[in-house]
Order: sequence, then C-alpha cells, then structure tokens
Amino acid sequence: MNDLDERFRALGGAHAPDLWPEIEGRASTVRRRRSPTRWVAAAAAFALAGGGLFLASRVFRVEEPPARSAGAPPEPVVAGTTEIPGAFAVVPGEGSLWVGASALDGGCDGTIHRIDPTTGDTIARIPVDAVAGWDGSIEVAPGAVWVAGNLCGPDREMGAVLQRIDAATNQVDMTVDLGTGSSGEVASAEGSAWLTVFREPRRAEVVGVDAATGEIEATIELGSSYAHRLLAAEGALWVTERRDEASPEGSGVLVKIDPGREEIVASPGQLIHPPEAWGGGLWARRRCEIARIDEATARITADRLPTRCMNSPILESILRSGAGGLWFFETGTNDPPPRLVRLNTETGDIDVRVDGSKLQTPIDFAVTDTAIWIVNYEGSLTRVDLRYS
Amino acid sequence: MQEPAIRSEPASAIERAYREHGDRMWRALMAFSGDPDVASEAVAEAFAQALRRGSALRDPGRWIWRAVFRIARGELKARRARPVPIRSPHLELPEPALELIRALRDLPDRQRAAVVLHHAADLPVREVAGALGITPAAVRMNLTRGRRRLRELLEED
Repeated sequence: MNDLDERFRALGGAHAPDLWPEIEGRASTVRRRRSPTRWVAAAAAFALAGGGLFLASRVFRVEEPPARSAGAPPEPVVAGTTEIPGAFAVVPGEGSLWVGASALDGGCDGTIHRIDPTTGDTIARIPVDAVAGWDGSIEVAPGAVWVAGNLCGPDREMGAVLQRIDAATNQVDMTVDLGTGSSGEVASAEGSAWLTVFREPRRAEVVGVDAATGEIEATIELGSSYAHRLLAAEGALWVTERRDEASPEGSGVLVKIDPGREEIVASPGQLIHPPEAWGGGLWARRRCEIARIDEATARITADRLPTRCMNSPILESILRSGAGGLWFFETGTNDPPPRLVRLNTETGDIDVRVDGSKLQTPIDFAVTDTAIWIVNYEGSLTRVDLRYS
Repeated sequence: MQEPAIRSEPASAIERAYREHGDRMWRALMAFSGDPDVASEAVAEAFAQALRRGSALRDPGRWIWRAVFRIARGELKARRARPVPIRSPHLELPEPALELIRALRDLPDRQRAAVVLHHAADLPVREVAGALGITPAAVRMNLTRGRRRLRELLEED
C-alpha cells in the first residue's frame, strides 16, 4: 500500500449518475430513423459493389462533375466510408487529401495518409514522429505539409515539434524543435509556419517558424493558457483564446495578430467559435447564428445569418468553407443526429443538407469542389459526393 | 489478448453489462478526462451505440471499453483545452483524490488511459490491453512510467 494506491482508492467515492434512461433514449431514437428500406438499399449497394475492400476503393471513384449551373445547389450523396484507424483530421491541398492518424500502440507518432481525391486511392502513408491528434494540427502550404505534434518515448523528453513533409517526395524533410511544451494548431502564410504552443505554467504562445530554414523567427505571448484554430487570413493571424474555462466549449475570444509587428492588434472580447475565411471575409459561428467578422476590429458585425442551434459541442465549433458556401453541422429536425449543411452566404439560405443518420460520428471534415470528406471517431473517412445537375 | 468481461448478448445483456461495469467505467473516464460530464457523455453514447448495433456487435466487451475512450477523447478534443476544473455536484471527493485527478492531466494520453483503467477501473493488465488495443507489454510500460510520473507530480505539489 502506498500513497498513490490510497489516492486511487479515494476515487471510489465518485459514483456515476444513472445513465440507463439516457442510453435507452439515444438508442431508440436512432433505431426509429433507420427504415428497413434503407438497410435493403445499403445491402444492395454493397452487393453491387462486390463487397469488402472492393467497396472501399470503389466508393471514392467519381466522375468529373458536369459544369454547374449558377446557383443550383448540388445533391449530396454519401458515397462510402473507408477505414483509417486512428484518423483525427483531414485537410485538402496540393491536389490531395491529407488525413492524420494517431498511432494505436500507445506512442505519440502517427501517419499522414495522402489520398487521391478523384479515385480515393491512398497515394502514400507517411510516418511522422509526432502528431497532436486534433484537427488544425495539419496545414497544407505550397509544396509542403506541416504537422504539429509532441514527441514522447523512452529516449525523449516531452517536447513540441513541427514537422514538414515535402509534398514532392512524401518524406519528412524538416523537424523543428519547439522546446518543452505541447503543440497546438498550425497555419502557414507568406513563407512562415505559425503554430500555437502551450507551455507550463499555463501560458500559450504563437510561434513563427521560417519555412525555409526551420528557424524560430517570432514568439507572441497570448493572454491565456489555451487557444485554438490558428488561421492565417486577410493578412493577419487569427486565434481563438479560451480565457475563461467556464466559457462554452470550443468557443473563446477572437484575437487578431499582426504577424509583421508580432503583436496582438485586436481582441474585442466577444465569445465566438473559431472563424473561417470565405468569400473575401471572415465568418464564425456564434450561438444560433453565423456572423461575419470585421477584419479590422475582429468584432462581430451586424451581418448575421440565423441557423439552427447545435447541441453538440464536438461539432459546433467546426466551420469549413468551399464548394459554394460555409459548411457546418446543425441539429436535425426532430432532434439528433446532427446533419451537415451548406449555408449560401449570398442568399442566407441553407441549401444543401446531408442526412445525419447516414453518417458515423464526425470529428472533422474537409470540403473540396466535388465532395465533403468526413473523419469519424470510429477511425474512418466518409466521402459525400456533391452531384451537380 | 483478453477482453474485459462483458458477454455478447442482446439488449438485456447490454443493460446487465451497464449495471455491472458502468460505474467503474464512468469513474475511470472521469479520472481520465477530469470532467464528469465527459465521462457521462462517453458512457451513455458507447452503451447506446452498443444497443443500436445489437447482435451485429461481435465482441461487445472490447468494443464498449474501446468506444468509451474514443468518445471521451473526441469530447476532449472538441474542448481542446485541458480538462476543466471539477465542479460537478456529483463529486464530493477528498482532496487527495482531486489532487490525483489534477496530476493525471499531465500524463500523456496513453499512460493516463492505462493508469486509470488499471487503478481506477480495476482491470487486469490483459483487459487493459484489450480495451486500449495494445499489447500487455505496452500496458505495463505505460503503467510503470505513468505511476512514476504521477508520484513526481504529486510530490511537486
């Protein structure tokens, strides 16, 4: 018996609430939604595809989209799902999709899967020494992919690193040591890679790295211990600081950083989810609306579009742009599961909806011109084709 | 590799499994995440998904134990930040236990998972290996390092 064992024994005083009514409620809600017809259709589709691995490769094979008529929203079709164990993030760029996957053996290393978005084939599996394990920790820049992570292992001190993959060779060609701490998310702009690093005791920094040499060229202290979604857009760096741990999950205070002056230039203190660049401006989710951000002041403007509220903090903070609008999850009619929708910012309408019951459990997604790619916590990647008439 | 002992049966068996394992599963997740809400969400969602899958779930023991940790990680990922301070009215723990939960936050993910499954959920090493999908040797390594680091952290306090 020792002090540690006594402490664990003291944990025995914590008891779970009775969750069984909640469990039954969740299970029955989903069972009702899945009609036998859908299962028959799914089985037929599987049989037609030949099953198993053949299905996994075929479902990503799509035809070139026809020229789209102006304003005509595409029809979303869930094309299929392929397993990528440990997958946590997907990012498009350099003509490929880059899917980060954590190691499943207890290590801090991982694999970046490079996928051809046209065929769905895996072009390369690139081992990396460290992955952070969340969306935003991978960034595609011209000719390179940046991967933030933390080293660990018997011969290593815990430390934040930034790795660069050469997109021409699919090899890691640079690893930047960022010292003791945890790396967060990465963005790239004008020859530099920027990432958030969390140090002890509880302080966050934005660190700039020269993309050519790997030298640390700037360190900007933030006012809090944690921040997320580092974005390079509109000539500035944008990061959402979590200054109050009681604030809604995934949200924070938007901070604008001038990378040239290496200082914070605006921080209006409004709680908001991380912004996304779209249509020459910045947009962010806030409660039950999507709001435009004033790029000068970082304040929320009066240009706001109402949306359904979202009751899942996992998905509420994820906003992506492309293929004609802003994409996000919202609570579906008659309650969950959440559905993926497109907001046309020109009309203010939700004009594309992906039935949530056809999806697994999304944790990240990326938008390309012809498809939505969804990473699921089940360790898989789902493709939703956008078919234009 | 041996799995945590939950038998493969339909809904009634899943409920029995919940009654038998749910409390310590929740306790392990609460220690893992530092957040009772994350623990409740993960346990509820994992068992609900097990119910939905019914007999299609070939190996519910391993599946549920793995699912709860994946869901908890997903919840934590969404929150991004380290676990929030413990405020839940459900928790009236003595200070040594709260210090332990705080120290657990500073362990790498895999060490923390191994430690809480073994010490908070009382799973033997082989079952921890089944739940985490790693080898028993890897579990023992993570347990040794995790315990050592925990002692250091608690002594620093």
